[in-house]
Amino acid sequence: MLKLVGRPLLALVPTLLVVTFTVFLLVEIAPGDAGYALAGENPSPEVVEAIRQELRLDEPLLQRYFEWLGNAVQGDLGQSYLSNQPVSELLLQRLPVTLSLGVLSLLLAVLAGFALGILAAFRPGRLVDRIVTAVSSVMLAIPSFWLALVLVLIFAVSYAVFPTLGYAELSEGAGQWLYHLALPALALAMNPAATIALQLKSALIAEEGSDYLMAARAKGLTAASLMFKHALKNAAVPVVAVLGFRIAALLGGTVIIETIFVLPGLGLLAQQTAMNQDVPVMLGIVTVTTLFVMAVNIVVDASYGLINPKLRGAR
Amino acid sequence: MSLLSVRDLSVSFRGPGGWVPVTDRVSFDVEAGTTVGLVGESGSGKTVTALSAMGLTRAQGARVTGQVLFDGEDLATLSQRELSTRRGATISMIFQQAIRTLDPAFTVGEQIAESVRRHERVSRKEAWRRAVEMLDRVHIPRAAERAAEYPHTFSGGMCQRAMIAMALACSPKLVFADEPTTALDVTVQARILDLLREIQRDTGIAVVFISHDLGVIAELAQHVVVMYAGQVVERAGVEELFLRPRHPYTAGLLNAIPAVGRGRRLISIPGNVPAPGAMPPGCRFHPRCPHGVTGRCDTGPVDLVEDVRCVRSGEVPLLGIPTPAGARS
Repeated sequence: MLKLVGRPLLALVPTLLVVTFTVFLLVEIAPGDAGYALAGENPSPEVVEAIRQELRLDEPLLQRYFEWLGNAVQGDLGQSYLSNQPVSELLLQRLPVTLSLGVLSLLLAVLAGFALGILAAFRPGRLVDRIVTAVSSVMLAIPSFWLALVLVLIFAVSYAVFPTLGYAELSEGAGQWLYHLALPALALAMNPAATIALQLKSALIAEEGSDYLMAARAKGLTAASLMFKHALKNAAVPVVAVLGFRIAALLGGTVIIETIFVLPGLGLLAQQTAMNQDVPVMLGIVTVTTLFVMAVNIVVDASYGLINPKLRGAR
Repeated sequence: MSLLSVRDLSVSFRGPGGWVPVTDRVSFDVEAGTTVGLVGESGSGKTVTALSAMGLTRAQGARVTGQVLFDGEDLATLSQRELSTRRGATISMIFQQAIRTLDPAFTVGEQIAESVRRHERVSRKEAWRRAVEMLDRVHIPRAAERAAEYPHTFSGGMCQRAMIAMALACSPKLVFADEPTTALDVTVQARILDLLREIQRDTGIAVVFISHDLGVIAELAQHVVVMYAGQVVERAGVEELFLRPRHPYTAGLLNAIPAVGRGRRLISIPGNVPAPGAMPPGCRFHPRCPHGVTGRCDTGPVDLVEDVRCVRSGEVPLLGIPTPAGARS
């Protein structure tokens, strides 16, 4: 277990260094800087220069980076250029929204993906399988932002079942929370649901011809027991691997979906800070996201061992 | 009445161009407590016959006709749901590749206990106790510990022992043993055969032992059913079959048994078993038969007459050998 968790934790350090430094570098290369972004419309060069001095943008890149790094290691992620709010405070404010959206859409994706995958695998090549495969392929091809807009058009504009935008915290009641998150979560879940369905289907069909299932049938197990107990546990290994990738992709998707539905989460914040060149906030978001993705990877790797005893190593 | 009576069992699988017949009217009987050897080269339909007798090929979509009279009922007429209460309980099967027939995701004990709980109303604890008991029974050392381990930590021979324990956990009346020793080392092979003999002596279970090796069959079986290209070509008691084979294919198999220090030249049968759907006209063995006669062997289909399927039966002298067991004593 130590090996399983320890190694990725060690890999975390260089990854974080590379990722944060890349952000510094990209901001440096990008045209314009925070000076221009903060000075308002048609600023005089003096004003821009004054802001630059204040933000110490005239100092060399490496010096600024290591300064930031030194503070970050001590838990100080700096302050927003724009609002002077501490970055960590800002992140903590926004994180629950994105987590809500992410967890809900992941739950939807897993439920729908497993249900569809199992349904299709029960009778491979038959009508149900063909419908599931066709629908999943279409769902894979559709970008989530397009789907989001279509969902809004149907369920919020034509039939006012759900709101077009906005967010309600869980403390305002689970009903309100769900009411606001339903459409964005659905839009975000579609892609991973399709991936899971297709992956699970082919994994289950691959298990179907295996000798251990024949032997299990020969000892009197029922079709349901063969499918849900034996085949599913074996087929879950590749699906969990895919799930890990999808979670990272899902996080990327929140930027667009949160922007469309005006959900005040990390995604929306990321989009805004990128426009304003609010570098400390940007770095904070990148750091948190990287940590999160790495954590997901560790959990996924550890769960392999739970599903597949061979990976648990010799005792 | 026999414990198992397979009558005219024909099995077809769906191929790209329609149904492909794999076995043709296979018939044989197994008496309670005895061992019947089902012998033939790969592709002769032995495994398909065993799987079909248990209704397992039907579950895969095969077309099966004929009767499987077992323990007072015709298994061929039962639904999969009804069959699932018989499989593992009164009729069971041991497979060739034990390592691949144990589910890698569950412990060996769990898989044996699962079988017990499927057929008997016992608690989880009791089922586990039975699993450990069965592992002990098949001589797996430290059975209580090993029961909690996964199949990949077991060697090939140990897997086969676990497989035997799983198949026999509910004390079935008959077990199909499909080449249970073929994938194992020779020394391990002998120990597994000893184990099967021991279990049969203690429990009186009937065994249908499937093998391509008549030498192994001679060690266990009282009766032998020889299959070729999906048909039974000869049925006889084991001594009789070894000493006086009546089908040229049986004689060919006998002469292919390696014998140490007996100075007999090993003769293999030339050619291969024809593929299903591409059977030669007349006797299916005639293209490979040293005694084949044009005009007699390659015309109409040959029927099983007095337990042998050969138009020249009795005409040609066929050389037998003493059974290895007889030679040893």
